Amino acid sequence: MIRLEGIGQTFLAADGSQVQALAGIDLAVSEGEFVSLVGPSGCGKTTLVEIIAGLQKPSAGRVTHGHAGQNGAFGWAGYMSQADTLLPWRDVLDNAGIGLEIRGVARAECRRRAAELAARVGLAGFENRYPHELSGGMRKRLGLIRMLAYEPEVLLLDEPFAALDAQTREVLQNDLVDLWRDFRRTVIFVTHDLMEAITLADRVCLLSRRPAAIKREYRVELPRPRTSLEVQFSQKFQALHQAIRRDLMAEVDWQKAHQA
Amino acid sequence: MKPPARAAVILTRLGLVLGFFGLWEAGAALGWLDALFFGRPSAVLADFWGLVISGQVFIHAWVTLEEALAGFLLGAVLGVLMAFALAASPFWEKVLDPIIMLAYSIPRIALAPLFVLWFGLGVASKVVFSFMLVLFLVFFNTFAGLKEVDRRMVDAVRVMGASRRQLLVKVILPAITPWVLAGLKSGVAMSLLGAIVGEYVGGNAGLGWMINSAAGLFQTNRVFAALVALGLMVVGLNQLVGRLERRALKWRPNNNLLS
Repeated sequence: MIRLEGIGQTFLAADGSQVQALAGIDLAVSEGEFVSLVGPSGCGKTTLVEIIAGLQKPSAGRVTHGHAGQNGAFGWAGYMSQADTLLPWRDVLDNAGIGLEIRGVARAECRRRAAELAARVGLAGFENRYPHELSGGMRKRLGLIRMLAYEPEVLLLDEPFAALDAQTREVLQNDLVDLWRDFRRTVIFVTHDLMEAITLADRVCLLSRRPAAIKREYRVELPRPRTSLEVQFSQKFQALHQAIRRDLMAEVDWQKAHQA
Repeated sequence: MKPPARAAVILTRLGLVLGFFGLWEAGAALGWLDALFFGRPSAVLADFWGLVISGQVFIHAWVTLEEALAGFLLGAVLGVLMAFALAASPFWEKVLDPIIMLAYSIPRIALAPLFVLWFGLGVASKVVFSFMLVLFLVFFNTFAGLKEVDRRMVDAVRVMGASRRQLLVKVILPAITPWVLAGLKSGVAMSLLGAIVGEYVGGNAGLGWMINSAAGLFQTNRVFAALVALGLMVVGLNQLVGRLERRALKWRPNNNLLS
């Protein structure tokens, strides 16, 4: 269970003015639930994830999760952003095992557990390769298992697959859903891709334009296991996609009109 | 582009070097070059060999090496520490930035006589001089490396629950290693330069002193013999650093953009 209560964030812009990015975000995500966050670009999705992860302090509100050391403590969540943050000087297994290593697990054991995970996501045979020797999709898969290896309760994913081509992205989405089904973690997944949001999640939350709040939530009542191919042509999916898109475009249009 | 054939490269290289020394030797033998000023390769080798037999070259090379190494180690350690200290404190970075730039832009070679005045004709003045040259190199490189560490990479590991110490050891130090090594690499040459120039200016031992005193007596072949010794020393040290670098950076992709 993870709960956001009245999260607000205000920045000091370069010209000295105050910019309010987030205002009063309330959200409760239950154990094992997969929630997607969507919203117009620049609305503060990344800011919100960084606040949940503990990398930013919110100017208002609080994040609670039932784990030792509340606000500001690390180690309870897994976090993956769009950026490639693998350590280039570590091979696949040492990268995947770093979370365990930090917890004091012996290196041989870290590598053994990393190897199991690597095999699950098709990285068998690449255990001793360095990140620059892997394809973009493989690096993302390594990022996923690096995050899962130390068994965090919550996974925070901030457009993790945005930099991938469409085909690879679809494969990675299926990998993620498989891992999620087997590990049963709570997932908060930020994306600007509605198709992705609906295909993956139990619930889609739409953020409004700045200052962002949760504008609406949509339950995704599609049967699992879902594969993107089957699901995206179903009536239910199309209807939901249209509904969210209409609400999203309303925010985008407002933003456009008021920036001009 | 097709990589050039190895044999052709080596043969051409050998040809150039042999041609150069051949012309020099011939020029001296035929009297085109005044042997008093220009020396003669065969005489240089003979003199060098004499220095090896008598052991003199080792005595002086050791003095120079000691001075350079001491300056190098001091400069490397303090350079890295200084970079960390400034990177950790934006206030002191701001305060010291122009002062460091000023200190750096003073041609430090010109200060050599002062160092001799302050620290004497012995080893100490050369060590301090070497140290000053290496310090800035290592400091600037390490500092630049620290500024370049990818925040997002650090954050990713921080979220996993890493302590400050773990972040330092597992992320920051490996991330700046290429930068520090680049500084150390040029630092090796710099530290020798410092020792040699220090010996020129005022000293009573070392290869620099040998070169300077031989030049004063028009012993041109002796000057070149000392240079041969110096060259061998630099090659050896570079090999050592190169090996260290390859070991530490074996994870790096080879991107040679110009070939």
